[in-house]
Amino acid sequence: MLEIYQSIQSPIHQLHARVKIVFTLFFILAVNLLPQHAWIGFFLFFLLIISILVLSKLRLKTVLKRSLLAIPFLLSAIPLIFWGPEPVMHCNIGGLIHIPISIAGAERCLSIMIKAWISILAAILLTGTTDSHALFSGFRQLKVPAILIAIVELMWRYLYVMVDEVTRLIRARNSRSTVVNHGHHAGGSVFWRARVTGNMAGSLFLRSIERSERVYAAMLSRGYNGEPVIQLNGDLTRYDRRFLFLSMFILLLFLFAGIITGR
Amino acid sequence: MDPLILIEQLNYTYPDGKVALQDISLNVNRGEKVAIVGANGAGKSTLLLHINGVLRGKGTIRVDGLECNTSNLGLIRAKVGVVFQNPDDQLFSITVYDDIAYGPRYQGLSREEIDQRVNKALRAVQMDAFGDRNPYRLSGGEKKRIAIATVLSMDPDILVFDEPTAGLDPRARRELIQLLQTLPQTLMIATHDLDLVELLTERMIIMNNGRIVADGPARLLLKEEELLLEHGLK
Repeated sequence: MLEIYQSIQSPIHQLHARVKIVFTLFFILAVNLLPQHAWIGFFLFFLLIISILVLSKLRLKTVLKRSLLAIPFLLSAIPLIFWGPEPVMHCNIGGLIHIPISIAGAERCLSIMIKAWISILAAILLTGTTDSHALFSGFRQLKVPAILIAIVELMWRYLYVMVDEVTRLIRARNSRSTVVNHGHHAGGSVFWRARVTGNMAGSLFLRSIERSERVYAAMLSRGYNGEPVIQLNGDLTRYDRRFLFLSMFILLLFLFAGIITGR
Repeated sequence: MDPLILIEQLNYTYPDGKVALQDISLNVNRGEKVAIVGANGAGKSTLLLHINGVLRGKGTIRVDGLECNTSNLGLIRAKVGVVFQNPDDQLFSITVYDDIAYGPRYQGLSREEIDQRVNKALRAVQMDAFGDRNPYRLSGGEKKRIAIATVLSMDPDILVFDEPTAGLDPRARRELIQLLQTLPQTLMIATHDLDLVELLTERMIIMNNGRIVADGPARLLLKEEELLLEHGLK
């Protein structure tokens, strides 16, 4: 369920993890440097990421489903529509409810939504075409602090364990969430159910702490010193370098095009 | 008389494509005590999780005449109490009392009835004085007993156990078997503890690779050394 990487043969999968990380970071940076109304710029960047996604042969349905991750960012932009700068249009519903709508705010909201969504697509491209080992190794080669990588790496590893634990807890609760034919209202109050869920989260937290201590003790006993023993990815090939230069050139070109055509 | 549990032609494949159950058919009558034995990965737990509809495979399952479908799930789960292998999965409240009261509270019973059910369940597992304790702080054997009490409080007809003696010390294990002997409900126990089978159940079903390979009186099957060896039980 959690596995994001799709093992496929494609020109993008072949690329070195370092190249893909650098491309993704610059891509997201460039998209977010575009001015608010750079519709042409947005379109160009969208076209670029979609072309690479097609090249990568990732399943489009999975990519779109994952891109729902952008929803919280999208929602956070909505208030701009109602509290944006002048000019403000006034909407009356039945003469009772009065809603102000800012045109500039709506444009800003749309810009943020598009930027968030395109950025998420780039992140999905990176994680969908690079397996976690190569990804962490790439970050190491890019000199990201070891402690940060170790934290994310362990989190990634134990996320699966955690999901299993949560599944078992919920399964055990569902098995006792029963109905009897006495005409009683089943399910209890919302407050009580919220409390039970809170208790479950607490119990999971306690168990996670205990488990992490056991795992850490086992790691120490095998000589762990804060830095996992790993094999780094090899060097960049000519293909990697070509992709990197070409993609950086296109990013710069699109960024300028976006800045010039945007207001 | 209809069997209490009727399973016909049950097949189940995990989402990752692993076939877990193949062509399982069995009947269990009221009051029977049945052991389901098999090596790790034989499909015992998967089969048990079908009896209360946590997993839904292809085939027919009827519990006390009720078809196992979405609309009957709540009723079926009230009849089938499942005690999971790890009591920590089952105990999530701050006090033992709250944990045992979860089922009856969910069913919407009155405060007095919930109180009666909890006290009766605590007495049945001989843990009367533990109502106010934090389940997290109990020993393995005590947690197991409380986990049993949490399903007894729903007054089920069938008790389903997944590896009840796993991880218990010899004394806790012996006491648990004695406790299981006192329970009047229909029992289905997934285990590879053959001593438990000998002491507790009259019927034994052997599973291997998701199939039932033997089903008969426990005292006879337990003597078939070769059969037990072949299916990884000795």
